Amino acid sequence: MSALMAVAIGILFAASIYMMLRRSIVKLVMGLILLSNAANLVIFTSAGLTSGAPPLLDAATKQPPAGVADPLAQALILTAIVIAFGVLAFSVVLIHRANEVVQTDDLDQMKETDQ
Amino acid sequence: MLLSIALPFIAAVVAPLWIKKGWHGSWLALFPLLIFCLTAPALADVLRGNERIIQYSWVPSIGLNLALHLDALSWLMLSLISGIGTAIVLYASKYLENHPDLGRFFLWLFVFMGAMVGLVLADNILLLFVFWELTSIASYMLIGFNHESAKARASALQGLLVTVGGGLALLAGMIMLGYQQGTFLLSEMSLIAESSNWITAAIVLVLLGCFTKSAQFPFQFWLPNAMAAPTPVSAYLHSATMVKAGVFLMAQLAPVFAEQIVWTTLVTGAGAITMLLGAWLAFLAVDLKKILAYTTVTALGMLTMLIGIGSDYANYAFATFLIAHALYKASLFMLAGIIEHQSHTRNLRRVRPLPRSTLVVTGMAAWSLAGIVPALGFIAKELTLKANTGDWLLTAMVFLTAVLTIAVAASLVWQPLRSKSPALPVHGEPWQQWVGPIVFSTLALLLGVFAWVVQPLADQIASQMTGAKVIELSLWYGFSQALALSGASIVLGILLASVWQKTRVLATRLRWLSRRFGSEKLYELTLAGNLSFADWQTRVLQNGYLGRYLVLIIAITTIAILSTLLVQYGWPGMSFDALESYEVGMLFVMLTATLYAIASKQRFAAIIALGAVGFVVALIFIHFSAPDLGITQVLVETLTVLLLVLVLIKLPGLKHYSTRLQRFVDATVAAGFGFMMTLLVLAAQENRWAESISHYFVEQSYPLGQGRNIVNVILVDFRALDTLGEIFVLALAALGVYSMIRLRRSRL
Repeated sequence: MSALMAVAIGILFAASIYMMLRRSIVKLVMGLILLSNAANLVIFTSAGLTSGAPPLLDAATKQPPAGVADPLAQALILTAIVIAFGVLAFSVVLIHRANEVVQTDDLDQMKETDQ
Repeated sequence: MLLSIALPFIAAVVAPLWIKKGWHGSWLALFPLLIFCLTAPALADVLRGNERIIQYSWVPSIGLNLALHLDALSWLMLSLISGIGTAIVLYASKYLENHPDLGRFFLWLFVFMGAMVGLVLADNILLLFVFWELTSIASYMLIGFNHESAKARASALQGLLVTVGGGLALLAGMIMLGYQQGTFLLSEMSLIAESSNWITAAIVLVLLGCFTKSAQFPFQFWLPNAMAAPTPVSAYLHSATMVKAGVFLMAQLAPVFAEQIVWTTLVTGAGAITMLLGAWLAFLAVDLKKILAYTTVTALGMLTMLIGIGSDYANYAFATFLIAHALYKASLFMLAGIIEHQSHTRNLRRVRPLPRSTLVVTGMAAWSLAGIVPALGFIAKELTLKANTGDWLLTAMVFLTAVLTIAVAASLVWQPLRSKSPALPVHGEPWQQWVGPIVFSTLALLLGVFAWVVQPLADQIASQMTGAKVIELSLWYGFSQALALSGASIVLGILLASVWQKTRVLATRLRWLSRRFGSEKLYELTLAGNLSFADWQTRVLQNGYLGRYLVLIIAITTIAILSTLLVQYGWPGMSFDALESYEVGMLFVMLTATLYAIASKQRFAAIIALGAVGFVVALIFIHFSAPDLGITQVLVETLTVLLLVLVLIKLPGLKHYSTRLQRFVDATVAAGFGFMMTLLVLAAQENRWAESISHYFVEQSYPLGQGRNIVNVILVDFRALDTLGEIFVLALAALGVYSMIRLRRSRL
């Protein structure tokens, strides 16, 4: 499965980079969303894929299940998901403002600082 | 010794305040005088051949110690710096009296003095380099002292670029030399007998530094331009001291490199060419300071050549000439300032008759310049001619140089005498301006007669270089080829001086030629080429298009990582066994949605596809034992879709802006990056370099954190500070979003 995941991650990255290279500013944001998904999956896959053993301690024995999944990677990704959302919200509002001010959604038209 | 270095820097701080108070600058001459008095007593020790060495630890990790040493050569340089410095400060205090920037002038003059003292005392070659560059910077500030003149600024920049550029080469050469020798201390270096490419490269680099600093061919052009500086600066930096730094360093390194063919050939060759070229240009020039600048170039060339020859005669000639030149050239420059003041011109063609006193002193200094009995310069010339016997080419060059120099020296006196224009009313120059010229030109003349005074110092310097035999300094070595050539050069030189006025037409034509094809032209071309290259590459690389920046960054990253990965590691393996059908199905849905999001022309369809991708990612998390991630991902994905729908509805639809070619290029770069990431993830799965630290959290979650959800315990307990940072980032983002929305409302 992890080899297939690696291929899927590669395609996700390719798609996100392609979208980020587009001139339309809306597509840039879509590329950003795909990029954060791809990056999270990289960390997740690299920590090893384990099914059926979540990092939760048994209520009675206070022991983890056998072959427990790596909790540290999950903690990192959790942080990454939330931060990515913060960045996304900010950039979406930012491009909305930019579009309002410059009156274009073409990035190549936005290269001058003077209007 | 440390005090000698510190004193000028103290003076540099005191001087501007002193001048600001309205006190007279002459008193500042006490600083260099004090250094001179501190230096003088060390002579006895130096003459016995005892080097004084002091070491203070500074940056031990890179071998940079504050190591100082005082040998005969540095003692001589030190007394020249402080002795001439005293006269120069006195001279400048009157020459630039009432100048609004006098304080700034003294500041940089003293900074220079301190740097120069440090340079000659430094034993560690890295320390020497630091002072070396400091002199360049001080020189820059002083050449450009008259900063309202564009020419002065250009000349200052030229001097700086040439000398600092050479300085960088010098640093590289010094480091190479230091590694070869296993020490960075001059006093511990020894003769290199073998030769290798490494040593050759070190020699060439060191020489680049020395040649630029000492204005050797082909870098001689910056020195005459440096005459844009006020006269005291020209007298001090650009004749007596700073330009000697290169010569000084070469003399210090001569015992190390003496057996290298590259060294002897380059040093002798460049020196001889510079010597003759300088003399020729000095003869052609008409501006008094330019003439002196070119004779300085000649003198530096001769000193360099003597180092290159390295025989006993050459070493003695070097020592004597070093003293003689510093004395008469400093006084000639100071006289040039006086003459300019008295005659209202520096052009030797239009110079007016001068008062008798000026003429006499000029005559004395010019006599030394010409090197005629009984001046110290005469002994130096005799020895130089003797050093060259056997090599007819060098002998001819020295002879021609002597002829031209004598012609120039004679014209310096003759032109004012022959002048037909009316003399200007004489206004006496203050004593401060006369002390230097009178003392130094007298010394230069008398030291020839009393050569025994210089003898012990010359002995010591010669033995410190490569000398073995003691040669007695004397005005009379008996009849010889050298004496005959010396005599002939006097006759020819005076003949040439008599037609000086008539040769000016020729001179103008030749100057035009050298401006077209000289090395200064090369400098200008290099500078212009550099600027236009910078301009071009800035326009290409910094073009302002976000897409192109990204393409470049991503393409380079991809190539760099991919090539490293494949070369160092090879292809990672891939195995598709044990696949569950629903796992393949999940990924299939995700990738289909991704491709749909890319291709779709409708905003909402694209947003929904993106949402689908996010939810599949959540499914993957849940399937592979990460319930918390799954929950968070579902929440965030829902919010993202809502946000996009709300905001994007106000934005234009998805349009195709790029050309087909552009899209193809982008797609290739993107595919390359994706390919690279796949390989990277595969390689990461095959390898685990370090032991995972996760088991600590698993074991300690309940005992330390009292929680059963390990991920949550990590977030709020073990790594709580990180989570605080995360909250802070979110708060900032929220603040940004809020203020942008508010801003719009207030506009409307």
